[in-house]
Formats: sequence, C-alpha cells, structure tokens
Amino acid sequence: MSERMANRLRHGFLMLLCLVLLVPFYIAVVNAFKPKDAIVSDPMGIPFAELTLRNFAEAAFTPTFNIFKAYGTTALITVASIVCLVALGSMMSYVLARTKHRFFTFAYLLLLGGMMIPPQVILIPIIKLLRALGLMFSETGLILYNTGWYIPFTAFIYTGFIRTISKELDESAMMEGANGFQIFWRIIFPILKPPTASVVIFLFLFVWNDFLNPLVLLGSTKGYTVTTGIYMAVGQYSTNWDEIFALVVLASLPVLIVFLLLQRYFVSGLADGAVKG
Amino acid sequence: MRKDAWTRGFLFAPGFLVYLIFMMIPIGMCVYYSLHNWDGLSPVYRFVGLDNFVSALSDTDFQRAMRVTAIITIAGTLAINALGLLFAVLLNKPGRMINLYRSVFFFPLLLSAVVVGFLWKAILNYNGILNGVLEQLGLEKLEIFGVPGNAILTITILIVWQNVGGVIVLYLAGLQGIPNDLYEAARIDGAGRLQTFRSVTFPMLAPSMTMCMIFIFTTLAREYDRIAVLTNGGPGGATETAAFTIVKLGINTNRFSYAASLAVILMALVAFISIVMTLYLRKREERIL
Repeated sequence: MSERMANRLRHGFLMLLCLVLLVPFYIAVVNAFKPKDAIVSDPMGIPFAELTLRNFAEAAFTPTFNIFKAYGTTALITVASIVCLVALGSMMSYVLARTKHRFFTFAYLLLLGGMMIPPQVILIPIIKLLRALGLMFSETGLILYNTGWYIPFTAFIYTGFIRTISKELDESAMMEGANGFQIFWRIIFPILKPPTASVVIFLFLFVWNDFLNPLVLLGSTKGYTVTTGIYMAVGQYSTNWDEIFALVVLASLPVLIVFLLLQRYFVSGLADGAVKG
Repeated sequence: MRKDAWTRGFLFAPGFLVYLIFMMIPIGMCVYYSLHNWDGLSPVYRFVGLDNFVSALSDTDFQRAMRVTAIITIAGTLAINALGLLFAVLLNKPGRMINLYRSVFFFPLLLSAVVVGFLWKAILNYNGILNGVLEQLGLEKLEIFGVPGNAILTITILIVWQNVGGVIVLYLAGLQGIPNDLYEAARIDGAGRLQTFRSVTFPMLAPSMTMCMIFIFTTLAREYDRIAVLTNGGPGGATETAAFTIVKLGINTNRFSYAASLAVILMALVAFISIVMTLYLRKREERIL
C-alpha cells in the first residue's frame, strides 16, 4: 500500500468516525431549539420555521432551578477550590521536591496513595466531620473538602515539575538574604506557569463537572451546582426531552467557552501535566 | 538553618493539614465505623468486630454489584487503552484536519458525566430519540436500559466514549517522546508499518501505558454518576456498581456502618489491584526498555 493511499484511508476513517461521534451533540443542539412535537415527529431534522428559544426559557428558569444561580454557585466553588489548591499545593510541593528527609518522602507516598481512594470511602464519614465543624451544607465545607480531595493530584503535578528546576536558583536567592517565603513566592512560583496551567485546567474540569460530592455535601436546601441542579430538576423519570436537550446545551456552554478560549493550552497542558508529573 | 526549617514547615503544613483533616481522618473514621453497628443517627453504637464484613461476604446484592463493577472496570480499562492507543497512533501527525479530529475525540472528556448522561438517556431511552427514528424506519424498538445485559454494555460503551479522549492525549504525549532515530533505524532495517509499531512504538509507550492503565482503572472502579442518571441502579439493582451501592446504603438509607465496611472492601481491593498492576507494569517497562 502506497504512503498516499494509506494516508487517505486514515483521513477517511477518522473523518467518518468523527462525524459519528458528533451525532449525539448534533441531536442535543438541534432538538434544544425545537418544540416538543417536532422532536418526537422528526428528531434528526431541522425545521427552520419552527425553531424556538422556549425550551431554554422553560427549562432554565423554574421555581426550583435557575441556571444562572447554578452557574454562580459552581463558579464560586470551582474558583475558590482552584485558588486554595494552587496556593497550598504549590507551596507544599516546593518543600516535597526540595527536602530530602524521611518524613517528606513518607508524606509524598501518603499523598500519592490518596489518589487511589474511591470517594465513597471519604463521603460517608465526611458528613459527620463537616457537621461537627458546622460546615455541612455550606460552600465552605465543599471547598475545603475539594482542597483535601484534589491536593494529592495537585502536589503530584507540581512536585514533578519543581524537581526539574535547578537548585542554584534558590541558593543564589538565599545568598542575597531572601527567606524561604520570598524565595518561593518571588522566584519559584513565577516559573511554575506550565504546571499551574495543567493543574488549573484539570481542576476546572474535575470540580466544575463534579456531581456526587456537591450532591451530598451541599445538599438540596442550601444550593445547587450545574450538575446537581440539573439532576434534581430533571429527576429520574422525566421524559421532557425538550427541556433536557436545552439543559444539556446550557450546562455544556461554559465549559465549551472556556475550552475555546484556552484551546491552545488545553491539550498541551493535559499532556505536560501527565508527562512531567 | 533553624529558620529555614520553620519556613519549610509553614509552606508545607497548611496543605498537608487540609489533607490530613479532610482525607486521612475520614478514611480512619470509615474503617472505625465499619467495625461498629452505627446507623448514622442513634447516639449509641457498639463494636461488632468484623460482623459487617462477614455479612458483606454473603450479601448477594453486593456480590452482584462487585461483578458489575468488575465487568465495567476490566472491559472499560482494556477498551479505553486499546482504542486510545490506536487513535493516538492515527492522530500522531501534525495537520489542520488532525487537530480538528483530536478536538472531536477530546470533546466528551470536557463535559460532565451527569449532563451527557441525560443526553444519552434522551437518545437511548425506550421512548427516546433512537427508538423514534427506528420506528419511523419501520424497525423494531430497542429495549436498552430495561435489560440488564444491554444496560451494562451500553454504560460501558458510554464510559469508553467519554474517557478515551484523555487517554489519547496521554498516548500522544508518549508518542512525541519517542526519538525519531528509532523509526529511522526501523525503516533502514526494512520494517513495515505493522512491524515498526510492534518493535518500536508499542514497547516505547510502556511508561504511558502504565500510567493510563492505573489512571483509568482507579477512575472506573468508582463509577457512580452515569449509573445514577441512566438506570439509577435498575432494573432491580442489576446495574448497581459497588460505588453506587455504597452511596445508596450509606447516604440514602441509614445502613451507615455496613456501607462503611463495603467502602473499606472496595478501597482495599482497588488499592491491592492498583499496586499489583503498578508493580507488574513497571517490571514490564524495565523488561522492554
């Protein structure tokens, strides 16, 4: 088989597969704008005369669910968790990567072990723990939980990267009389942009899309995220496909926008994080 | 130097304390509860030793959940890695179209499992889009989520669909790290495409494979979100995973201690298998690199 032939075959195969993979998203977007009877009678077509925004208005603003409130709560939890994780995780990793001591080796292994734990193990006792701290059903409780839950991953990425940075940088700063904090925040942290990009992208996806943790720890009374809000609004037995398609589009929109804005960093960030970590 | 130790402590302690309080202590509590008979509500409970674990061993519902978890985890991990490797190789050439394909493969990874779960439910449910189309074409309707076998197969396929993008990215990163002169040498030796893959690409990807296998295995072993949306464990509990059963018993009903013991079993199994897999795959790396 000639090189050119093989290349054409590859492109043909990939293009066909990609078209198939896009079908569910086509169905979601097209049907989100159709009235219910048009969804039932012609699920794949686009009836240009009948297209409507009513599904969005009806699904996104109900007495029990407001998409903007869901965006707000999810954004707050996501941003706060990421800020805590980047700050605490990078500081911690600096020490883990730079100190040769049995204690820190042990601490690093303990952190890595945390990445294997199924969340269900933590979830049952954490309810009691957060109650005792007065943080159950609060955003603060969920943010603290997220910080603990994702800090192994954050430390894993940062530690791997910091190990590749020359120690001379710290030493020359120390000669000039800088203390540990100054060295970290003024000299090390500014060069941690690549791992920070990876960490932020991963954590954004993890926390924004998280379901079980906010469902249990935030509960239904105090607020809802995009995922838990939609889960509770749609329910188990709903067949209001018109509303579901509209909600799928609305829920995916923020992630899509962030992805398009950061597309350049996304794939390389994911890969770098994994390779250097 | 003493001052140095203090700053190290201050840099290290906040993150580690949060980890200890919100991860290590709950793990300890989980083990503690698993040895007691607490219902989550009453103020008194007592030590019952391994009673919960003994009941778990003869609990047919939990055995079924473990079987479902095993099927999803094993089939999913293998399929995701095989397909991820295949597509990474096919996508490992720069180009405009290739970037577009990559984005398409990658896209499901960005979305929440719950949200796309609802999308798939609207498509695959008995009175959903797919059956509507089949009916219009005069074909027989498919019963997907009402039949345990179909439901588990479909959920596994959806898991593969949503996770394969991440693995493709990791394998692509691994492919970039293979030095070009190895391919050059294979070409000079007259190796064909398949042979080059077998003798250069595949062995050189061993470290990527170690990471992808472990990562996907631990992710799939905690499958909850799609089950909650697509079948809610039904029909009759046939699609419950271990993770789903634990949440159902521990949080939705009040079998707190018993659910804790199931969680401990799941944790121990996942940890044990992960460690064995890591050791085996690391050995494999050493053998072939």
